[in-house]
Amino acid sequence: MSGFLWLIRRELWEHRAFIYVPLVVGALMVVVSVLFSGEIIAALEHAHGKITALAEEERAAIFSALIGQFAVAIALFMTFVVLLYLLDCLHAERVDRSILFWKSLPVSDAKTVLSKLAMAMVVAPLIVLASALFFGIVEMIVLTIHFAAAGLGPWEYLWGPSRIFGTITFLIYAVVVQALWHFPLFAWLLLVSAFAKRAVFLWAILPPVVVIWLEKVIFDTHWFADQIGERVVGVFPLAFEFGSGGHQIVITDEETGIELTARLSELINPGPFLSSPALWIGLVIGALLIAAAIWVRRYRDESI
Amino acid sequence: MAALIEARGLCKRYGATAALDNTSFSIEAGRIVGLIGPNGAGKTTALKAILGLTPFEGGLSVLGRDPRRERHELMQDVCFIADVAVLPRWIKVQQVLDMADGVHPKFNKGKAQQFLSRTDIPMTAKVKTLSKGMVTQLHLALVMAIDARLLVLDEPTIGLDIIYRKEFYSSLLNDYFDEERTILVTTHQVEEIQNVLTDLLFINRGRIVLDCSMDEVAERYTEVLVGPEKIEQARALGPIYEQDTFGRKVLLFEAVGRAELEQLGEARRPSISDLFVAKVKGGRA
Repeated sequence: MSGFLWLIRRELWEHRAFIYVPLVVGALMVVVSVLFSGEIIAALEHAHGKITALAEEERAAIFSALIGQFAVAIALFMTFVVLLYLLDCLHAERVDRSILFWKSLPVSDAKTVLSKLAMAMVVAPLIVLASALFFGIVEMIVLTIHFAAAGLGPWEYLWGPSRIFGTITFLIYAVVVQALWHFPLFAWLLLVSAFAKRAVFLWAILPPVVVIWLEKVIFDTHWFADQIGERVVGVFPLAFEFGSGGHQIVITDEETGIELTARLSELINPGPFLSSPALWIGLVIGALLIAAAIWVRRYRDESI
Repeated sequence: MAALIEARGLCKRYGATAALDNTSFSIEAGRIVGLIGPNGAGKTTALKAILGLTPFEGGLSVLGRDPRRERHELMQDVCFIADVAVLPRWIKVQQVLDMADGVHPKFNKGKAQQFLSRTDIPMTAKVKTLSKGMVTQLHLALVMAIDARLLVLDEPTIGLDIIYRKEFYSSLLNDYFDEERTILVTTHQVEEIQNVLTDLLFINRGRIVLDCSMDEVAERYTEVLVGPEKIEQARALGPIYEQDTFGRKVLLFEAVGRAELEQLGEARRPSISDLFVAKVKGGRA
């Protein structure tokens, strides 16, 4: 297994963006909040009455929202990193012929392809989690100063008990669910990367577009397009319970319309997700695409 | 001892052309074999088949394994340097040593470091900042630190200047090669390896046209410089190749007695490149 960890290390050596993109995004967000300290303190003073009126449980929403904000922003940029990486990783090694070096090492093609999949499904989510928590906590320290400057007791309003664990549970659930749901998309990109001689972008996009177009022309339906749309964004209604439960505490700010959910962990709703055929069909299709990618890397003859 | 590589009836086609056409050969352990052929003769395809990099038909056993099914197990005992520098350009020298140490059970990092310390290659440099000669030295350092049984070299010195080329082969011979190891090398530059090789395999149009040891070459083939007065007498003995040199004919004979040939003119052992031209052109005639 240590061999597999070396393959992961090697990916991180080559693809530094997995590390520096989250660092840059997180750091920028903290810097912005420091630069706008004056405005934030003024806003806190303005909302003094509202904040002091919050119940203990509602105060927890501030922490969750903060970490969540970092997680969403970092995850968004990380998605681009991951998509570009998957499309590039098995293609670039053939273009520069370094595949001949990698294949001269006693590492199976299955292990190599799985290490690249693990970058998308495991390593990237872990980096998002760790960096969101790190920068969220740095931001909490910045906000502690803001709260103190606005005359609000930071210990009372920000650093309440048992807020971190609920938020972490929620984030772990969110990244796991998302990775499982996106697995067939990742697998498709890896297959294209292993297969296409050039124009990996076109190869990734054109076949689905052609299928959608053919379906439209022949049957005048859009089933396949719907499936793809669902696959990209459909995990949230399936795996989370929004709005319906009376047990949630939602704080709505009338001026901005922003809703903060206090107890994120109560949004977790794995039942419909795990019992959804779409999840399991997606996993099977993804596994087949990965098997195809391994096969192509194994048997493709570079001299053609 | 059984042959290290045993190929029986290898076939591989690219469209209409046969890269390997019912090719058979075997390579014994402890030899340095030159696989020599013109461009497109099937050299690289044969190496790729041995390394499990390409599908093919026919029977092939390398170290007792089938490279089609057991490539990565095979690579524990087989090292490979391809024609151009294939080390990834982004990787640092230190990283490539760490990586090999991490995934290769037979890699000896200390040995590689020791070899590198004799070069000008800094451990912190990236491969893309190294000269072509240095990249080859680095790759050679990696390969020499692996306790492998078979080393496959595909045009390893192409594009290198003469100093690096000489160094490359002398390092291989002095620091690497022993009776336990086998080296299979392809090259265009036959002259620079003819003193290194123990065996020759000539390949042309996917077929083996010569398969013998260097000792057999000396016994079997004789080159004679024949003056015009004896040329007809010499031709009667059936030379396999004839060429002009400064007004005299150079005739190459296969399996003709040395004593008989010496009466025709100055007899000598042919160079590998002359033998190669004779065999390849002969195959075309």
